[in-house]
Amino acid sequence: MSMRTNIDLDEALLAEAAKYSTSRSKRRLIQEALATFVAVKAEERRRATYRERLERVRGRLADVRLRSDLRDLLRADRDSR
Amino acid sequence: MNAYVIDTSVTLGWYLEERFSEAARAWQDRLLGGKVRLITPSLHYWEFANALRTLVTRDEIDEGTAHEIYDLHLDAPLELAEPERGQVLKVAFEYGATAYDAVFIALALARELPLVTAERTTTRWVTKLGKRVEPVR
Repeated sequence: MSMRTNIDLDEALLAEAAKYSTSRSKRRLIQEALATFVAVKAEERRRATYRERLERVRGRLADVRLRSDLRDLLRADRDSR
Repeated sequence: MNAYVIDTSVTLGWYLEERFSEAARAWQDRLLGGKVRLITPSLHYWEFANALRTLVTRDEIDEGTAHEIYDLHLDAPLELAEPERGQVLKVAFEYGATAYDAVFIALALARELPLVTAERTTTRWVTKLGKRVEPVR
């Protein structure tokens, strides 16, 4: 789905963005820029919530006592492949 | 900021309680506090996933927990880098290590970075790396 819009764009910024793109049209360049923006911001958000989610997971796993020694488990994995 | 190569053995202790978890988590705190950069090869993620899979098959954690830990770990701010493929076998022979260990060792050697590992200090390649290893105990 697409929408038509009229917007004033900073020409210098547009020219700078074009240096990082192979898009030939302004339309494609702006679409590419928006897609990159969304990907970068989504990644930032995931990273930002990492510590918070880490605390939650650790809290839930605090009582889990493993029978396996993690070093031995990894060693066995590397030795047996 | 100091950079290090990190072994899979250490990151498992970030989420699961182990004897060395406290030391492993100290490295994680340094990472999250922006005090160090931790670099790892893509092999790290496959080993990490396989360790979780093994824990599930041994009935030590459930599958949902394994997914939760893995998804979380994918968002840990680690930096990805690969050793030169041509160096891995040479390093494996030179250090008496498996090719999988050698991926981490070769990356650390090529970048002249210490290797952070929870591997036992009696292991041959750990001894041979000497001060280029940051042991996690």
